[in-house]
Amino acid sequence: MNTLRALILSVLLAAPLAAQPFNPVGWAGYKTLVVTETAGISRENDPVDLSFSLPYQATPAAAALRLVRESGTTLTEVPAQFYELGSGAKSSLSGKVAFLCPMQPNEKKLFRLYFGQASAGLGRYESSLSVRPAESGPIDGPMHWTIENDFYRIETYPKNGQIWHFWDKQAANRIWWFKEWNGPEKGGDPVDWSPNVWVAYPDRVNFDKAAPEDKMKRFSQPFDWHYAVGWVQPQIEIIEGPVFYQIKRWGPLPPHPEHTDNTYERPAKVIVSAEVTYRFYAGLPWYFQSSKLTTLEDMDVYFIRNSQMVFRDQIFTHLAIRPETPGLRSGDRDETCILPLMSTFNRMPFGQGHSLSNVLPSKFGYYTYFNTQNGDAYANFPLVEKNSTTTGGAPTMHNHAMSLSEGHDWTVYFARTFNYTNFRFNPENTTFLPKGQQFEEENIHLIYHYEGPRSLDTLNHLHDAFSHPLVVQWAATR
Amino acid sequence: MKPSFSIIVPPAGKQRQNRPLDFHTPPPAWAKSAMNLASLWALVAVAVTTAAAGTMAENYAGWKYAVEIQVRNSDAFARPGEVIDVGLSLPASRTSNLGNDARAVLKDGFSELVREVPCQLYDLRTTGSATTCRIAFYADLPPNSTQRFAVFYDNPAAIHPPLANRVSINQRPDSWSIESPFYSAAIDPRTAQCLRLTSKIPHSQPIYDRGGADFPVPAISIPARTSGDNAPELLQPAAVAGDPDELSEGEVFSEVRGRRNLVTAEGAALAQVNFTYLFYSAEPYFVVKTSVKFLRNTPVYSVEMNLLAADQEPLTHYMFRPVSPQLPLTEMEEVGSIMVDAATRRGFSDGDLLAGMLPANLAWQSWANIDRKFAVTVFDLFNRHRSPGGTVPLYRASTRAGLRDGRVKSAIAPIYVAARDKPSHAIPVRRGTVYEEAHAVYFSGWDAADWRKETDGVGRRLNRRPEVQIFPRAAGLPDDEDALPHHGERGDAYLRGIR
Repeated sequence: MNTLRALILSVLLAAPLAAQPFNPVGWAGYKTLVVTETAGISRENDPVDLSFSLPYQATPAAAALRLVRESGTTLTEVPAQFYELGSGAKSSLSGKVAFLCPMQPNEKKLFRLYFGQASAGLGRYESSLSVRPAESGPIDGPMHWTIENDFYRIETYPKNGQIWHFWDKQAANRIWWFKEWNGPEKGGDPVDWSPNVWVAYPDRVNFDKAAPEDKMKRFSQPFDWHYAVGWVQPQIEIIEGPVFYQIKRWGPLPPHPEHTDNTYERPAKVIVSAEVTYRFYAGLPWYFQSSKLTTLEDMDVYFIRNSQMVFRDQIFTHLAIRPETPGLRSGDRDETCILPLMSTFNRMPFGQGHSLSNVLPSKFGYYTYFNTQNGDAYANFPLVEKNSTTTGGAPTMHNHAMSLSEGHDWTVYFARTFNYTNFRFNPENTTFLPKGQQFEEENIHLIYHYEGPRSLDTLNHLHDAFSHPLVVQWAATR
Repeated sequence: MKPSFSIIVPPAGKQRQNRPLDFHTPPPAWAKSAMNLASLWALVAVAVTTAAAGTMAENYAGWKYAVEIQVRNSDAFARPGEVIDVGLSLPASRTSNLGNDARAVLKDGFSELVREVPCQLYDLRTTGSATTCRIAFYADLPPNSTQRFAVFYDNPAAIHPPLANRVSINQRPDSWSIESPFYSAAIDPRTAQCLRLTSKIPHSQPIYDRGGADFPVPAISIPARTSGDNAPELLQPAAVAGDPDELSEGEVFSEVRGRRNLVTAEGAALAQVNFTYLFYSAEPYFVVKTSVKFLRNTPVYSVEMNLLAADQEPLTHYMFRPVSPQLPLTEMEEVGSIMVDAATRRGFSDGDLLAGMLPANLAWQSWANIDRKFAVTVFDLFNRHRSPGGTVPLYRASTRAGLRDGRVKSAIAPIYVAARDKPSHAIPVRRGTVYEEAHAVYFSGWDAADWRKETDGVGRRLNRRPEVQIFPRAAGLPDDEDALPHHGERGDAYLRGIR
């Protein structure tokens, strides 16, 4: 068993209230849940998250619920998180329950969701995940948190809650950061750039008033940056509990306030909206992230991107990609490729730019960056890529691929591109998007310790697990 | 079986003919002397130029007929040293000395003769009252230009000019040695595979020099035919009995053409490969055309075409030019690049560089060293497949670039199965199925500023042939499928710029 699995196991064993005997006396009833592993692989700690409805009249505040593992004649209480509770019609209580579930290959487990015991509440479980206001720094704002468990520490950008920095506690525990505009004295810019769009205004004269002698094209003139990194106080909803901590933000996505030339005309209304959700788990080295970007008006764009995690190039030395070949025959397999980062080694043949563009698929099995010297490592498992329109019909999404950008002393990042152009100053290279285009994604982000190529075996295992979630089914209520 | 060999050079005063030779038999004296005359090329050019001064028309007083070949470059880029290759049909009564008397002469707008250009006549055939042949010559075409050439013929007294080809080919029992001003190569006559490859641009640089023979004959992997052994088997090229290779040398190009069976370890021929190498006298590239035809219904793990291998040691990068279907016309197409040097890959096992994610339609791939500043580039010219059933088997069709045993290898694979441990994973291919390709191997320097643009320019030129008309029209033959692949069919791949 590799280190990552061992670490997960050790955390489980160390969890103070991971499992304790359960006494069913006094509970009004229970509903049986069947969890089945069908892919033939072991699961170290897969999250189970599902809705329920119980014949139980209670307000959410007064609800009493327990999740219990049934094993022969033994009942064992399992730490669980009950959320989004609501009193329904016909004297019912509905809601969702989440818990972590280790499984052996092809194993079936029975759980009981007990309800209705006066004053029992929802259980009290300790969590190894800590979410707290971050220490004050060079940037202030209301969404500045530190999220920490045994595997990682994450700091969010104060102004909007986008992920700003990482620390890999299993490896070098050094800050992962990025500079687009802000240097280290300001903590850099967020590393999570999803989602974003360059709305094109190709009729603007591309002239930099601040440097009239400079013939170079300047950013923020023929286009506006509508970026989640530039969000200012989006709406927010937080769900917290012993299993996970979820931060969901949404709202209009205006042009980046600090990188927008306000002397140009632009629509006086919201034209782009976005939604970003993070879910951090106690006891897991990865977190879940989703984003949705919607165009609310007709517009021209130079590109739309998501799945874009942007890092300083010196943090990692190599990357690996496992593709997800469509139409793979039964028994055939995908292979993983490993590439040195040209930016880190300062071996970019043509200077900074795209190392790989318009050639990769839009969805991998996973990709990972790692540092062979200090073990810092990050992996991204795209679960869902869903593109649609709110008006019916097919979305516009040509030049749709994952692209790899590199620049020495600057960055390395993948991004999923839609309607992408490199010649951002040519009016003819814009793409017209009718309103209602919707680009959605769901990803798993893993922070781990790279210990050589065998670490990729762990990633392959996780990929298999993420690709084949546990099968869950409610059974009888008693 | 040892392969036999035939050499074809238009001998002075003789009709071109195939002369099968035992491989160990030295070539005839005239052939040897012809091969050694490459150094006279410049001398001939000077003599022709001198004779042309003011007396060009008089030089051709002994010729009775000429056809005009009009060459149109409708592209916005120049074509220096463009290979023009056209089919002619001439009255047989005028072609008794065609192997010696054909001369190509550039004309100006008033049909005055400007200068003679090296030309090469080949594939002469007389049937009844007509003689057909092909003629190749070099043209220097400015952008958006039309040039006119007279091809004089029917001079019974004319003798063939000395062969002036800057590429020399020497055949030895263990290898054919090719020397060009731009590269050198050695080919294993038993397998037709490359044994060594050296670039001479900008300086001598071995590209493939560690022994072995990996390309360019298509590679087919099949399930092991020995029971109990699940390892895949790679079919090996073997000579075809009674089917000698042919070498043809001329002023414009030299051609090596042959056929090999692809056989199992037990000697069963499952497929047959036809190959053509074209080595140009004045161009820094050579062209390879291969086709593989399945002789039996065969389950395969992979079919790999457009093969090239290079030693990893002298390389720093592997680069390629994708072809995005939806880029605007004025968009740039970016070159993809990844590192292949051994130092940054220490500790990692060999394998596919991009795990099969590279599409099968890359315009070109390049192996480069950005420090020593050289590059070897493979331009895809065409891929044509056909099957008796109509549907050609394709599975995971992709470009496969990978590291294997200290080499960087690449192939365009119409079929590629990664899991080769069970025969049931193999893809059935019907007897008669043909996979065919052609590519050009181009040698150049490398620099960060202009190389991409220049390389793309070469690819664009190689994939768009000039328009040719022949007058009188009856003298022209339509291009046929057997025409040599001097140009490819990937012109659309180069519509957009690159960065």
